[in-house]
Amino acid sequence: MTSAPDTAGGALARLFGEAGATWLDLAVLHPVEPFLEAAGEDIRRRIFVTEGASGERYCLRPDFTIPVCRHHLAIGAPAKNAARYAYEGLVFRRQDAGAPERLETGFEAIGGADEAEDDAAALALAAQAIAALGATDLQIRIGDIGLFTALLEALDLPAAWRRRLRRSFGVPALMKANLARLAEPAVPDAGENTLVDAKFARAAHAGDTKALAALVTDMLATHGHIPGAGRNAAEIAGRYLDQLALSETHLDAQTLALLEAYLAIDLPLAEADDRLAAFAGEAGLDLAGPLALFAARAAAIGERMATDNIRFAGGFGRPLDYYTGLVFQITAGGHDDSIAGGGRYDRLMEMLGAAAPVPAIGFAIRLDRLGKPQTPAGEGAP
Amino acid sequence: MSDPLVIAIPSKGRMQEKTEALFKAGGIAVEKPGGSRNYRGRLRGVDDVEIAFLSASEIARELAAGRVHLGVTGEDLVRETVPDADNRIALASPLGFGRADVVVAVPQAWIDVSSMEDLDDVAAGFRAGHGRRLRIATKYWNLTERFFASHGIALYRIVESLGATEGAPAAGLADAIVDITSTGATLHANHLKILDDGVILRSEANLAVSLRAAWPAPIRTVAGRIVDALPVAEIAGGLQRAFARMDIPAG
Repeated sequence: MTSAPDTAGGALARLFGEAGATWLDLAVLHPVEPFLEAAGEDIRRRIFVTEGASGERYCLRPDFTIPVCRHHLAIGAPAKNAARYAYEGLVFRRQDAGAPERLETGFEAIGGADEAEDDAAALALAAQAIAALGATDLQIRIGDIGLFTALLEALDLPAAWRRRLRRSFGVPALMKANLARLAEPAVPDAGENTLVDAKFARAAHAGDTKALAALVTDMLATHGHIPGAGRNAAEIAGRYLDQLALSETHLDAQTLALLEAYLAIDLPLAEADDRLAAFAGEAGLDLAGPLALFAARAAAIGERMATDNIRFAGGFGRPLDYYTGLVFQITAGGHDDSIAGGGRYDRLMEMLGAAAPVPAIGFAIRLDRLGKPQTPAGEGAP
Repeated sequence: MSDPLVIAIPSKGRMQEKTEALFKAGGIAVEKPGGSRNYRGRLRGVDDVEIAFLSASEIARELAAGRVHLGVTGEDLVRETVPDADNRIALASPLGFGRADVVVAVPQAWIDVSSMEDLDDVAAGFRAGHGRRLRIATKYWNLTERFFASHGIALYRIVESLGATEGAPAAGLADAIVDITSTGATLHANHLKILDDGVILRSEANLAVSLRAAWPAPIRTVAGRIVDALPVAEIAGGLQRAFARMDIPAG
């Protein structure tokens, strides 16, 4: 462990210390594998990759969350030991404009048991830290990935559609395109040409998953696929029949309207509980569990800080599949550039090697955007 | 003596044969003094021209760096190996040979997958079912990343494959591939199928012009004369368009 930095006259060290954080001094170079596995190949374009002496690939850390999680895993018993960490240092990202390195500080709470309380504590701590760094007129925007996921389930959408919409969440253009795609009447029997012969067609039309899977099993064996290496016959046959069913249906107008109405919700946090309850009631959807969590979190936030500058947006989220719940973003001083971003990532530790999901939430603060003149509102990149 | 015009042509295989045949059809003989092991040559009866015999991917890199003026290489290699290719290299004209498509292919046994949209869905559900991301074997990293990104697919991994890529899915080294194919026969023999919208690039050999090389007037004149002689429609116009792009002041 290391001593805390003296940023803002030691104010951050005090704040994060009071929140129970251990300060970490993490390596700049990390194996590239965990970053690609968690975020997907797409992140490769935005990270700096280099090689070790025997060809192993490293990257300059593009963020601190994954290094902190790996540290937590390395010290053992991740599921049982709740821990809080703080850090400060440079992160490195390729980007079209601006410097490829920037100074960040942040906080991660791993293994906490009380989602609502931990969420509220992290949000309040981020706001306090930014205020301690001298920023004023904070504007906070929050979203809830868990609530959106629950909505997709309550609407009883097919799994393939849920997956598609979940990974569009927080990317408005992609969401719009995917909603339009699901709403258009499908071409009947799309994919029929992929069927190999009459035997396949008979099994498919009978909806006989077992018979279809047996045919695919034979095919995989005949084609020399090593058993157990990739997608198996049951999975392929199951998805084939799902797609066949989907090709005869489409997102109905009522469901589309509900989704669009939810994604358009944007209102002060204080009004969100009532509005969401009304939304679920009017739509006849059972969202009791996730709405209770939402209300508990909102109450916990209200106990810690003023909420008049916090807005909830139904469509605010992140497309990555390891984010699971609260997401937030903070701006300040009337500028559009985000100064802090945070969120709950209960699925990340498992992706990095933990035996089971480990609840976790954290945030990062852009020190490079604090204490310097900022882009006036409307001109900055988000 | 002034600097020569440097033309890079493929140093081996069918690309070399076809390129030399093209020059011959234009009445230009490519000479390789000292036999086949020499990597510099000339054009018979033409002064001020140097021929560089290079591999097709080296040609793309040398064009990008401005160390050769003209080169014959595949569009796939230009797009794959050269960052910011459009600002470094102009393709004057396709040459009618070296045709090959860069495609996304999956096992034929994946009867449920026929489009990139299907692949996107399979990739998204992959980790939950298999404990790892979907793997794509390819040597075309950049083309794959750009194409998948354009289809909104992020949740996959590339595994580098420098040979026999088409065998990777059956061997369990990857789930699907991005590879080059001219007739599809190799893919078919390996029980793979091309996705309906899985053609990333329809490539063929091109006369490529370096936008980064020095192009003083005497070199342009020599290049113009040689290119005019080649029996390829529109190729002279392609060269002039490349020159015109270089003449636009920077900024």
